[in-house]
Amino acid sequence: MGKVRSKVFFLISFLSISFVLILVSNYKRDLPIEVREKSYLFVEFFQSFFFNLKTELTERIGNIYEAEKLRKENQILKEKIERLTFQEKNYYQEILPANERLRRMLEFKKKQAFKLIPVQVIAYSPFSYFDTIFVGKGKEEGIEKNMVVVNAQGLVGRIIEVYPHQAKILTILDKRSKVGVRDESTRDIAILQGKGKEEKCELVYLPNKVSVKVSDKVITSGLGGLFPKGILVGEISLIKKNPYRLFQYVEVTPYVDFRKLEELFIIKE
Amino acid sequence: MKKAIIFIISFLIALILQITLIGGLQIGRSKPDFFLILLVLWAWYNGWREGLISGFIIGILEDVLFFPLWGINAFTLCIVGFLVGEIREKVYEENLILLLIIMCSATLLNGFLLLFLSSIFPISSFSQAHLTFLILLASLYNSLLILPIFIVKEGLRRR
Repeated sequence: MGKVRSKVFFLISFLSISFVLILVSNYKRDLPIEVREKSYLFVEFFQSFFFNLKTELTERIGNIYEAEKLRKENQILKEKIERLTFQEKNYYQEILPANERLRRMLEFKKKQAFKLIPVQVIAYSPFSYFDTIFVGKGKEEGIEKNMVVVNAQGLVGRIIEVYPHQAKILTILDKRSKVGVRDESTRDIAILQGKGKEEKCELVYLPNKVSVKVSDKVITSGLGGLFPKGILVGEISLIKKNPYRLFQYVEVTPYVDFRKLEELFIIKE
Repeated sequence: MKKAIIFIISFLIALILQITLIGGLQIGRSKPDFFLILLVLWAWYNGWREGLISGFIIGILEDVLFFPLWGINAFTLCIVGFLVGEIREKVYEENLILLLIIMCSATLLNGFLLLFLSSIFPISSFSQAHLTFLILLASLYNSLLILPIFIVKEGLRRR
């Protein structure tokens, strides 16, 4: 009987400590993140070390197989360069100044390009419960919390935690992610939220009367100040309207292929 | 002292496997949980007391390193470690099939406890239905992974 009591006492003590910790960190939600940002060096070291090792090995093996392919590609590129150089000397010389003059005449405001920091994906979340990615640049390289992450296909997500040489990205697939977006053709605005499911997002708070269509492009609206305006997000893949509901169900398939993320860009300005 | 060192080394190996190999080992969206495998093996060979304490330590470290709330994994892994150790004390047979069933059940228990806690304290990015699917997949995955680990461990023990 005494042994059983001792077991129960032990178990309840440890569970109580854990529960108190849950309550404390739930009350101060920023505390675990702050502590992790300051003490992540250990994990950061392992992640960087094994990522570099993997990259080095892959590159060396890849070099052997790629040599022939690169030779052919080099030949094609050389021809392309010659063709472009010819065009640059003979064709663009004329049209570029003309274009510039016309722009000035129309007082066309040049669209400011984003300043992009290239980063490499070094790890995915070690657990199945989150849609987060780790990239190999952090505070020391000028990365800050809430910076927006994109790739050539479109919007990837935003930075949620910054360590000295790494950062954690919350992808737009994550249920906690919310992005102000706009239907490119109808110009209606909505909020894009991750579905927490395979590669899909959802437009929330889009009234039934709004007439969006399947395959409409969705871009960031710029409202809210976090995400710059005009970044491609995805296209509408499913619409369900229920006359008894205020809002329609609109599913968006992102342009970004989240299973093959490698090179990303962080928008600095 | 020797045991503590073995535990620390095992934890470091589990950590390295969890943060480095995980991308390549993903099936669907399910990932194996090397920390849970370590805990089940530790509790299986060392009884309920060490199962409970190691569950708490592994859980706290997981929480601090990866989770948005502290104590969540400590809570669930304490229960898992305690129960695995407790069952082991009542079974006198070295049986791989039993260990596989224990691993599968431990993953399910841990997953559903996390699911329950995340419904009170939101931590996960996935819907409950999708998480249930991931937990079921992970239970099979962890059970399969414990096989080679068990064989290597038994080989080392016999030497």
